[in-house]
Amino acid sequence: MRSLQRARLASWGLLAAASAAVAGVWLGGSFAVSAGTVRWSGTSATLGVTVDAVSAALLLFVSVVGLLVASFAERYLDGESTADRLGLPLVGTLLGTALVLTAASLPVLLVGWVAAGLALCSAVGHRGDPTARSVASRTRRILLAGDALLALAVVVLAVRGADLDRASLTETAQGLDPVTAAAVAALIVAAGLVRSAQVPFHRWLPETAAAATPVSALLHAGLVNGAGILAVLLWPLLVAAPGVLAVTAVVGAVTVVVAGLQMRARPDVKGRLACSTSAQMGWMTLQVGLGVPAAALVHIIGHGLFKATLFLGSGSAVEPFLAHRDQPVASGESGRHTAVVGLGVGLMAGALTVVAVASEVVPWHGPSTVLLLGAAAVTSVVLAVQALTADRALQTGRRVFLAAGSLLALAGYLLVVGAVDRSLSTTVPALDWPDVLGVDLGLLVTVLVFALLVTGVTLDAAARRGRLLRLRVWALRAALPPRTARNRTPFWRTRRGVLPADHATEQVTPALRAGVRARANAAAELFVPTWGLDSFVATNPLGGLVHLPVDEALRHAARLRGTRPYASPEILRRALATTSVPGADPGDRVPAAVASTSALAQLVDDETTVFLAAWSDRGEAPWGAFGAEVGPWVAWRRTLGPGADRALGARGLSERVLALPDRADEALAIVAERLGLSADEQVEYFAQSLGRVAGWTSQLARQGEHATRDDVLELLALRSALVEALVAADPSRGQEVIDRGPDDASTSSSAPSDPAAVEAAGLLAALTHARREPLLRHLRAAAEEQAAGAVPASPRPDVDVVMCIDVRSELLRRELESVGAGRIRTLGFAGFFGVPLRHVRLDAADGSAQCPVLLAPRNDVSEEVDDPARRARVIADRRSQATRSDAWHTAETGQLSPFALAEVSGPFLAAAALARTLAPGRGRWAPTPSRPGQSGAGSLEAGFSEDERVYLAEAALRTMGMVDDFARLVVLTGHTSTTVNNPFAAGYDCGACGGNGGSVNARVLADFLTSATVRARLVERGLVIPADTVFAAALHDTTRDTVTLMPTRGAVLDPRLVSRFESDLAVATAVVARRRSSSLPGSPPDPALAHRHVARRALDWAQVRPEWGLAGNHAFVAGPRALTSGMDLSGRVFLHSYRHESDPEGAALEVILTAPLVVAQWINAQYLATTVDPDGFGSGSKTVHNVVGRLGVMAGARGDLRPALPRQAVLVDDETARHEPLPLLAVVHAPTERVDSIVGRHGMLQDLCGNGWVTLVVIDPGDATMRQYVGPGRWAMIEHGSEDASGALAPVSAA
Amino acid sequence: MEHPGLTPMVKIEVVVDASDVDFVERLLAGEGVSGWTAMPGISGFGHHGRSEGRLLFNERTGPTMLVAVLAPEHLEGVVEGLRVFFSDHHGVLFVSDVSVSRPDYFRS
Repeated sequence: MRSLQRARLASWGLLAAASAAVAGVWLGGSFAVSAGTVRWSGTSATLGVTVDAVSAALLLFVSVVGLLVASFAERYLDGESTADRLGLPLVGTLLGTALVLTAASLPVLLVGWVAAGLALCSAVGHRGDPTARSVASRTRRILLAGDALLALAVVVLAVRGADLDRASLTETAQGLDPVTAAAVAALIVAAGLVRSAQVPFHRWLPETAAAATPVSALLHAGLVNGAGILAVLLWPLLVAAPGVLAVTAVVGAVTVVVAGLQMRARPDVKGRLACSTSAQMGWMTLQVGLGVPAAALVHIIGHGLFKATLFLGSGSAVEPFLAHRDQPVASGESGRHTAVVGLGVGLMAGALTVVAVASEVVPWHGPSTVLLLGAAAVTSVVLAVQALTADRALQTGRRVFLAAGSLLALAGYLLVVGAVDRSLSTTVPALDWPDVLGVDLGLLVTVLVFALLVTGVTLDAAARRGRLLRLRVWALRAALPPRTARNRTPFWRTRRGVLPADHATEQVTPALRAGVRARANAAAELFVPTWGLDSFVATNPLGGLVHLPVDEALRHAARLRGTRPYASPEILRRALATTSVPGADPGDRVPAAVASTSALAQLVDDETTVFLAAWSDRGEAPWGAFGAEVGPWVAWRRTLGPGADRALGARGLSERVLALPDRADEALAIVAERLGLSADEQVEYFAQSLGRVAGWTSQLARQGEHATRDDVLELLALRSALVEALVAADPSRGQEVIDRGPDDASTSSSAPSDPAAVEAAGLLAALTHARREPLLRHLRAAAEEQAAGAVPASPRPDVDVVMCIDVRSELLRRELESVGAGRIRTLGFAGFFGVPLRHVRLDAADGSAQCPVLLAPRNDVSEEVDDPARRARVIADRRSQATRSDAWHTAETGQLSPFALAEVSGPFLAAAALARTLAPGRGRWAPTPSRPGQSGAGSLEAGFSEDERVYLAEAALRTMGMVDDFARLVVLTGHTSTTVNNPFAAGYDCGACGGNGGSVNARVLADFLTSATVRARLVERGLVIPADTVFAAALHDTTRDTVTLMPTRGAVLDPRLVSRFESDLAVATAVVARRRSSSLPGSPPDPALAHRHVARRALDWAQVRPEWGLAGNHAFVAGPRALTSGMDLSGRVFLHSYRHESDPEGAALEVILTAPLVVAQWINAQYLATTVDPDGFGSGSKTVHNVVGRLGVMAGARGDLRPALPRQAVLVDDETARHEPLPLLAVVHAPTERVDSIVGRHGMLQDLCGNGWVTLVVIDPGDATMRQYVGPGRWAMIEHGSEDASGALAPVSAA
Repeated sequence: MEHPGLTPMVKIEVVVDASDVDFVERLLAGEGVSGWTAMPGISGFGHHGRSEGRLLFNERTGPTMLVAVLAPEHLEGVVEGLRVFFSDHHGVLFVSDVSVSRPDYFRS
């Protein structure tokens, strides 16, 4: 980490130097520092730096970006073992760029240029993993090729004996003959085009999304501006070759169109931003080519600041999806009305621009001025029209206010561009276009560029209306190059054609297709459904393998998916060192997972994942999802054609696949037959195929739930048909078809034999014992006290606090019980409080399902505001916000509007970004939390019948054993979290509420229990709630350690009671904040600052560990709090209240064991698997995450969906785990026969408890004996002192 | 037994775990079955002991019965699909002959 600290300090130093340079230029004009002059054969070059107004401005810009990126990276990369490798490349890139900007001569500039490129490539590959290394290597090759062109230009000038100093460039250019001048200009421009990712050198840029986010920010803000920087600095050499500039303008315009179209097809945020950068650089290149370097200078700075901010904030890419769900439904104006408004605004913007030119606010450069200023006018028109027409329900005043803002921005833009242009006009020679065939070349180029841009606009408009399928498909496939050389076939050398097979001769009977369908289902079941980032809830990544013991399941997954088969012994050893159990000797490290990398498999994987991302997009790609109305097999086949054949390197492939039946099951049956797969081999092959895209398989399994279409079957048909056709094109690839991946001793299903696996098993057993033994010992002692009747009856408490069973609640429960001893009692219950509902915000069309994923919400609960004026204001505010964000999105993704938008908004965005990076969580610049605590604007209208209210209220009370002895105040406390710029925000919220905050559910149940009617009906059912018992709801923020009481309709709270309780809360939450803060990396040593630290940390957009979530969880206890209250469980145990004596029939216990326990096991298994293999089962490092389709993340520019926990959720650093990969220990305080009867009725529980996923222990309340479940109807007694170091429990006798 | 005015059809009754209902429904739809009735949360006793019915907070486990009437020509695929399925899943399939008065209603 020291390396990034040094980088930050270096950035401050550079900023100071840049500020001094700006001040120096401002006060005294240009200045230079020289170390001497080199002369050789008539040429000369000064070794030194020179600073003028342009270089000072650019230097300031680069230093601001550098400071932003380095400060962000320091916190963002905390815990990454490779972070120390990044500091030097970051500094190298910044200093190299600074040298380019201030070079006194071309050789010095060249040194800086090459150094910046090489340093940036080192930064791209600094993580050292194979993907990063190979992307860095490819990027380095292409950048060096561009550097060679620049070097050649310098050599040509040197050979011609030219003066190479920047100060003499005008004279140097004048001294060149036209051919040399053109050659030098062409070489310089070509070098710039490579670095600015211009067509045809544009495909390297999207790939660099494999780098960590701050590196991408630096690249897209700084290095990629190469063409513009060279043009601005070396303008005299370029202006001497108008023909070259004309070509430059055309290349820029082509890039604007091509990269712009590709951007609109991208469903991943970083891919979209990367293509957008190419297009933006195209605009900058166009500005250069049209002879307006001043405009290019404005663009470099504006866009750089704009794009750095967008990249650093790319973690919030899922938020628009959530916002759209919660915002009031917009009703746009009619097309005719929109056209009239557009005409009016267009005339105003046009008039403003004409006035700016006529009054010489903006200097006239010929027809190109019209083009460039026209684009700015278009931007303001797009924004204004969108503001005025997007939502008819928004008040006119607000609409006009928003529209006027965009016209004001246009006026400001014209002023700035004009000022920069005029200030440069004294030092920058003007471009003098020659005539070609009697016509001014400038006019010709402008017309050609205009035609290209209009073509782009037309193509975009057609694609948005769902036309031009081929264009969309091309845009999807062409943005990234194939990864392996074998798959990088030039189109003129595509493999020989394959003949379409006549499937009519291949009979598919109903029995055949149904059999294949069933076998595909058997393979698909190995992959559990997963949820999108909007409702990120835990699932067991090994959920399809619970019929196997845990260790066997891990080995089976290793064979299927290439994941690690056991946890790193080093991690286990370190964990064990924190216990009192002696550790083992160091041993071998766990082998990294060996994923198959055959060229065929990679080609199929890339094609599959690129297509699926576009097909399931939820709004990221401006052109929308691709063929989402049909399944993946049908939609994918629509993408086939000659373009697909070229991209996949097999002529005739499309024809062969298109000849297959439309039905996926029939197509799969035919393809399986052609591949020679017997019925027995099919399940294995299908599972292997799905295992390579396990993330997408799980997502499709979820998306397709309850539908009659089988998307996973369709995915199999797609992949298998593609493999078969590729093999038909090149039979030598046949050997790659059955690709079984690693199949050595460490991953076979039998017992492990490699020493590291054996060592890991031993360490895990020791660790399991070390964690469980104290807990079991304490529980037994507490149960013995209870059984002996030694626990005195406690007086009626003032407050009952009911919290979620989530392990994080235990910390607060303990502190509340401590500070309010005798007055406060706590209970644990599922955080949705037994009320499965859908929460719908004011006037919103859709809502959030607030219940465990095991349930479907049965009723809607609507947000309501009783005061009509306030209601209208709340809705208007939300409509304004929606209109603003829609207008921004429209302008950002348009064909012409993004350019001026970037230039105008960049400085403002960057100022906010800098403030929130340097002073995280402070002031008005702090970003809005991703998922504001759901407190809503007012009351709630619950759509439940009275019978439902009574039923749900009774079920909740009885399940948690709250049937008598109610306190005076019962606080139902839901929980939420506050994080920003975090795709996994939902993962910190309440899983029982479907990854949402739990306040709505708490308020609804509190409302039910406040109702006199419900209470009266409960009395009839034997549940008597005292008249003086009041129910209230509260919201616990687990990242900020706050608890907020919320209103309950009709409840009258005792102010003194509430006041005292709030004081207790303040004390308790402060203690919890201290404990949590001390466990979080980067927290202040002074405990007094803890509460403020966690609050600011929650709003830090560079923070990858806002809290530890449920890391550390390892046990579940269902029983009275008295069993656990005497032991500090450190927030690692799920606590569910249960009173066996009030549940004689076991109904409540059955609910607990079949729902909360199951969900706790999912959570435990997800954390376990992620700790075993953070990259295989987890989603890998957050630092390279790329939100795709507003749905999930992938690592870098391509690859499988990663619907799982990031490594930052479980690891402190690469060798220290916050979570320990222990299977769940479940302890139930109930008669053994009762538990046995329940387990006997549920095969799911028998699987979980019989295969080690859950170690089920029962403490009999009668005699405090402990028994462990060993199989159906079989329990083993656990006696005192029977535990030993080889395992947690050593049963000594069967009961 | 033929009934005058009625058309012979086949009725299937399938009992599977709630988590497997999606597969059976897709199989039925894929083989052209026009409709079915699902009865979640049934209880009973069999090879694997007692099975409990509806659970309060978990709708994804427990046995479900699906009943469908289909034309005989659709039976082959349904039976083969379920035969393969039952090789590694719990559940039962009953097939019986029935007659219906509106045959078009049961054809997709």
